[in-house]
Amino acid sequence: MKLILFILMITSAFAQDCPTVNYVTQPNSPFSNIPVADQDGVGICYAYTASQLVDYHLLKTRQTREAVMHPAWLALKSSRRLLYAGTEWQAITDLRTAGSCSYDQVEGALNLFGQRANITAQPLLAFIEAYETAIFTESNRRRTSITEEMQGRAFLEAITATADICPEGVLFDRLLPELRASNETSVQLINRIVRDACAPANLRSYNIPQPLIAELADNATAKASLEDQIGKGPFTFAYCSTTWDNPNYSMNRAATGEDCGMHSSLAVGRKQIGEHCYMLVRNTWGNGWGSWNQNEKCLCKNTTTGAWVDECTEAQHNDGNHSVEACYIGINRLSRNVQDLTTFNP
Amino acid sequence: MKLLILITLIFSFEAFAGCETYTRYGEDREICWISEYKGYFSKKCSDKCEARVFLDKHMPRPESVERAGGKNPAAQICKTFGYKVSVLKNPRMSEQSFCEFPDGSLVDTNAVVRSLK
Repeated sequence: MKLILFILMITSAFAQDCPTVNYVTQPNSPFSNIPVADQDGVGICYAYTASQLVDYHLLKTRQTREAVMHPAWLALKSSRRLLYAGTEWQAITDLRTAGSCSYDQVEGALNLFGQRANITAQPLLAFIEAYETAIFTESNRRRTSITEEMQGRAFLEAITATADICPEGVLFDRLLPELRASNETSVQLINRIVRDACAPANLRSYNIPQPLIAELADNATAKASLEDQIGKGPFTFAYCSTTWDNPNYSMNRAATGEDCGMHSSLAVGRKQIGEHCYMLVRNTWGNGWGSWNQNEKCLCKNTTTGAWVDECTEAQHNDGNHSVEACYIGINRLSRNVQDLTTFNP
Repeated sequence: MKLLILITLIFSFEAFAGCETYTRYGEDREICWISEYKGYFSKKCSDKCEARVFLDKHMPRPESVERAGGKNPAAQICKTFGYKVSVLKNPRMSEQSFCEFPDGSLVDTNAVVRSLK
């Protein structure tokens, strides 16, 4: 009897360290109105996760009834020279003062611009990103201003770099004059593309709180922050996505420029599974993550009935009847690879 | 004869169980689950479509893929093999990247990754 009591005490004490939180399956969850995104080859993960965090807040506070944020809009407003060089904190901070252009307006403007070259929004963004990467790499290397010759070379490099994502029949030559005329960064160019659709009169001003960012100096601080923040609400975090491939991976916090697949995702819950505590992560790699979640337990949804299947395994990930909405990762494993958190909560 | 037709119907239903209409660039695309491959394919993908042929090869997994900015590694792997990637929206408006082959057949990038050695 004493043994049973002892086991119960130990079990309950352990369970208290990892109380279950799930912001996806809770009744009337805003996430039911925020589709799972697949960013494919567009390297603006920070803007994807930031837009979902903002949408979560807007839906939660009933400022909108559907997801309204477009990742490209947040990337544009993040006041960085390069489209892909941004943070969730910066993107949301700048969105607060810039105002919001709706998803449909941004997508419509990008598609309208792309029509002249027979290209749609997502590959267009990737192309512009590749063009800019090429031109600034050369410009920085030579330490000179951008010339027409450099633009021409960058244009060809961008065609090569994005040949695999651009559909057949893209009329690239029709994009070059636009890129040349712009002689500007991708942020400025895309701003020009959406200028009419996202004119000041068309912008909405939402009540979006000032986000907070917590830089995590060591693994212990990271773990404490993850545990603390998830009780307050969903948040975004920047981390080494290599941890999905290699569970033993640990980021080198002292190194700069470490190629660890730096990525951003949303933390949307926590749960004890077996003896370990796990964080629930909503990613931007579509409704299935290939082998990256092969050995992970996930939160799945029956695509016919809409019923949740918690702790679903690969057999259910890949049965044609379920979509992967989020996956669990050990909190210790994540702590070793997380760089910072962005949250609305103090 | 009737039995033969019935069996054929059953098998063809099995092969393309769970079809849904996805959208790509504003166009509808019929996407079906094929349990043999544990993957989503374009409906036009018959026995000899290039998507199936590629999966049957069980190619070696690339040692590394470029994934700066959080790019989807499954999509990046498809590109490593020289194929295009298209992002389709399912009826629930969620997105999924598909590997597109020269004959127009599509297979979800996760199925491609799972097929690798």
